[in-house]
This record gives sequence, C-alpha cells and structure tokens, in this order.
Amino acid sequence: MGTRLSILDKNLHEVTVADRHYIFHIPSTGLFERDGLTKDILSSLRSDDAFDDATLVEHLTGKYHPEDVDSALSELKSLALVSDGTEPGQSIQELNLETVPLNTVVLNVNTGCNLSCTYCYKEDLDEPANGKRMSFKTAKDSVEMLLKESPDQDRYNIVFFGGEPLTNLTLIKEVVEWAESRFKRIGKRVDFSLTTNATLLNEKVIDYLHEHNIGIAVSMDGPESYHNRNRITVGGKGTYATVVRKVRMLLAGYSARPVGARVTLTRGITDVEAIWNHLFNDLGFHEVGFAPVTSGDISDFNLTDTEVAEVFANLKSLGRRYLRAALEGRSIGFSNMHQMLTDIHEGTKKALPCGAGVGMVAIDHEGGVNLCHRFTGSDLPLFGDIESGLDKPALNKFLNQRLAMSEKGCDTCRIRNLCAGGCYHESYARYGDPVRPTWHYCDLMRDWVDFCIEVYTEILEKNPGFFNRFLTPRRAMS
Amino acid sequence: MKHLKPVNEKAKLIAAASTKEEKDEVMAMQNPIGCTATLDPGWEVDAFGGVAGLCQPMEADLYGCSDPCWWPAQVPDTMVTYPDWSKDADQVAKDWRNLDSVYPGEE
Repeated sequence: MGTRLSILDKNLHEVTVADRHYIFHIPSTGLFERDGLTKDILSSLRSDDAFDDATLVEHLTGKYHPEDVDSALSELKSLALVSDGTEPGQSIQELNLETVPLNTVVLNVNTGCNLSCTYCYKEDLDEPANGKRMSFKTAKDSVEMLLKESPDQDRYNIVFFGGEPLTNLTLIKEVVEWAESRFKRIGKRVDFSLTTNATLLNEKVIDYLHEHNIGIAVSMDGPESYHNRNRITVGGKGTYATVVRKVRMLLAGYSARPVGARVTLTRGITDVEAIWNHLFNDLGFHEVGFAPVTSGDISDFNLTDTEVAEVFANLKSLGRRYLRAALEGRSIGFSNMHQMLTDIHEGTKKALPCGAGVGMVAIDHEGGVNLCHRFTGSDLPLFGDIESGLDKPALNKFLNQRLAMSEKGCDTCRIRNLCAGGCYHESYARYGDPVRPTWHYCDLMRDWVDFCIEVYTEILEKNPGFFNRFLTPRRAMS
Repeated sequence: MKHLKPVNEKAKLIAAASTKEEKDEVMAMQNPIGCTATLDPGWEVDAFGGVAGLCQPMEADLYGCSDPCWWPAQVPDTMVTYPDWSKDADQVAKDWRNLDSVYPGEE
C-alpha cells in the first residue's frame, strides 16, 4: 500500500445549510460548495478503513468514474484538506517590523469625563475637575511622531478620545487647525474623528464638527431604561433625556458623515433587538454596533456566562432580521454582522486580531505610546514615547507573542484566521495577559461565525446582488 | 475546480490560481490589519474614519462610505438619498469616471 491518506481536520470545516453542503477552507477563509463525490471521499477517509490513492479510487469506482475520483482527490490535496504525507505544515513567519505602517494616532485629550458610566473600562478616567488634559505641544508632537515613524502613508487619521473628548474642545480645535495646514503642506490627507457621549453637543459644536468633517460615533445604550442604568452623570443621574435631545440635534444638523451608535452590553442588558430598534428606527442612527462587556475591571458589570450566551442568541435573532432585509435588498445597519459578512465574503485572513500597534497607536496625556486607546493609564508597559519614538523591539516582541498560536489552542481552531485570538484589551482585563486569547467565549464566537456563514450562503443563493451592492467590489481598491 | 465550487471571493481567487505555487500565494497574500472579529471591540475609534488600521482607509472603501457600512466620508449616500449614484460604477477602480457629483436640493 502507498501512503495512507488522511483528512487534515485543522484545515477543514464542513457547513450544511438546508440541503447544500459547504467546505470552509480554514487556512484561506475560502468557502466552497462540495459535490457528492467529495463527500464520499471524505466519509471514506473518516471510516475505519485505510486508503491510499489507488485503493480509494478502487473503492469508489462502482459509483464514480476513476478519473473523477482522481481529480476530486487532487482538489482536496491541493487545498491541504487531505494529506498523503507530503503536505508541509503551515507556519507563521516571525514578524520583524523595522518600520511600522502607522496611519492613525489616537489622542487622549482629557482623562476627565463629565459622565460616570458604571462600566467604563478606562483606567485613567477622572472626574471632570481632576481631568488630566493633553497639551497642544504633546498633541502636535504625537502627530509629528506619526509622520516620522510612518512617512509613506497617503492619508492619516487623528482620533480624539478621552475621557470625554468634547471636554477639551479647545485642544481639538487647535489640533485640527494646525493639522489641516501641516498635512496640506506635505500633500497628504488627514481625517479626524471622535467618540462622544453626546452630552456636550450644541448647535455651535455640531456646526464646527460638520464644517471640519470630523467623524462622530455616539456612545448610547438604547431605550431609557437601559441607557440610564449605567450611563449616568457624576452625580448619579441618568443621561437619556439629554442624550436623546442632543442626538436628534446632531442627526438633524450634521451630515458630514454617517453617525453610528455604540452600545455597551452589561449585566442584565441583553435585549439586542429592542436596542437596535430604538437606535436605528426611532432615532435614525446610520448603524448600530454592540460591544458586550465580558471582562471589565468590576466583575459585577460583566455579563454572566448565561447572559453572554443570551447576547449571542439575540445577536443571531437580529442577524435573522438582517437576513430578511438583505433578501429584500436592504441593510439594517447592524454593524457587527455586516462586518463579519464582509470578512466572510472577501475571505479575510487575519494573523493579528486588529491594527493596534501596527496601524495605530494611542498617546496618553503625557505623551506615552500605548497599544490602543483602551490601554492608556493601564499597567501594561508603554511602547515608547513621543520624544524617543516607537519602541519597535518591544512592539515586535509583543506582536510575535500573539502570532505564536500553537500553545494557545488557536492553531487548530476553525475561526483562527477570522478571530486571531480576539481583543488584546479584553484578554488583558480578563486574564491580566493581553496576548492570551479571549477563551471565555471561543465556543460562542465559533457558533456566531457558523451562523454568519449560513446567512452568507443564503443571501448569496437568493439575492447575490446584495453583496455587489453593499459589499464588493465596493471596497476592492485597497 | 470541478468538485469544489468556489463560493466566496477568496475561494474564487484560489480556484483561478492554476498551480500549487499560485494557490499558496493566494492563501498567503492577505493579512489585512482589520478590526478584530471578536465583536469589534475596537469600534470606538475605527467606526468613523479613525483607524484605517482597524478597518480600511476611506479610499479603499468608497462604497463602504456610501452604503450602509459605518465608514464616514463626503460621498453621496446610496441608502436613501441617491440610490442610483453608483449604478454604473460597480467596479470603482475601472468605472470611477461614471461617478458624478450630486446637487442636494435639486431632486
């Protein structure tokens, strides 16, 4: 007998939707529909009998033409789904960034916030009176560092974060004015954006944000009873009434960019559909994104394990609404789902979970370089500062720790190239170790991805134009 | 590929690559520095043009701006106001000349 054929399970994930059978090719994020012959080959190889090329062809010859068996088998081999022992294992190359392709800097303009949301993850958060404000010099030097470390980008992003960034509007205005001319001088484009709790918006501020094309995301948790549970003033009062008034003012007076709502789901709040409905239909946000809190500092606010499961079930339920709308050629602005479907459609493959430390860094009020805005004020060591620049050896070391999947259970996971271990900060908050995968909801993530694959194949079958209209080739210029 | 029919875009690229080396290239070619899939916890910054590293820079993503993706840009929205703005330009890289200006208030 020749070399025994075996299935490479770490590369193969089979998905069945109605009566159609798909193969999710894990190494590439390619999705294939398989025929009956392929199914028979796979089930033969899963049986207790041993086969080599010749005996497998012989085994299936009654049912299929030998040449077809041959060609189906070589398709499976070429994708490393079936091995005859010659297929080399996949290896991830060590990363050694000499230059970092940074294009984004997040400025923590003030650690102070006028709200006191119970669940806030910011470790450097202060009450308004004690807020540590970034100086104009620090902000300027941060942007200069960005340009020095990564001079070859065509466009750059400056993000204002806090605390509540609008508590330091003075600095924002100074930075915008300076940066507009600074980038114009070098012939590059610069974009600005911020995430706000909306409470400090007024018509003048809105006009300003509109004029300067500053992107806005609003943190808002849904209907009054949900929103007021956690998003409260320093004095403990709910902020819903104010926020709704300001949001209506914003959506009426600002049209520079679509405005999205960012929802934080904490203990006791799992009603994803009602929240979406309020924010999308009643208030008119362009899209709504959900962030479940599973690993905050104060464990009382974390969703319980049962609730996390409930959240995923409810995300799926909203996902089915997304599906119904997609079949009618509409999108319901459910961004978690839209993002995942985009990744599945294009076959995105990620070695790192996000752009932190690669495409973006966050600068704290003192000029220290942090992995992202979530880490400012944390105990995680800095990755340099604006004067000495990025600490690239430290950054490389950190990123390579996450790239090394094999000891973390990720190397055999079927969603490893879509998830890549999850958010550094969630792992840091949960386990004290940013390079550990977010193990606490791996199963739910896998289930969510499977669900999205199902939805994807159904849309593709019944309304393929949806993807042409809403996803590709619309972002194919990268 | 005859027995495995490509379904998504990546699978089509793999199927179109005829040799083993080309297939490996397709598989290895893409490691975008996108937003984390774990429910987008990076959203605070990447939702609105903030973090091209977490999503895509705007010019890579023209229709992500006009369609219901959350990306911000000064392009006509095709959701509500200008549904036909991009109807002759499905392949932006090729058809961009068909994209015209819009004149709010005239419709």
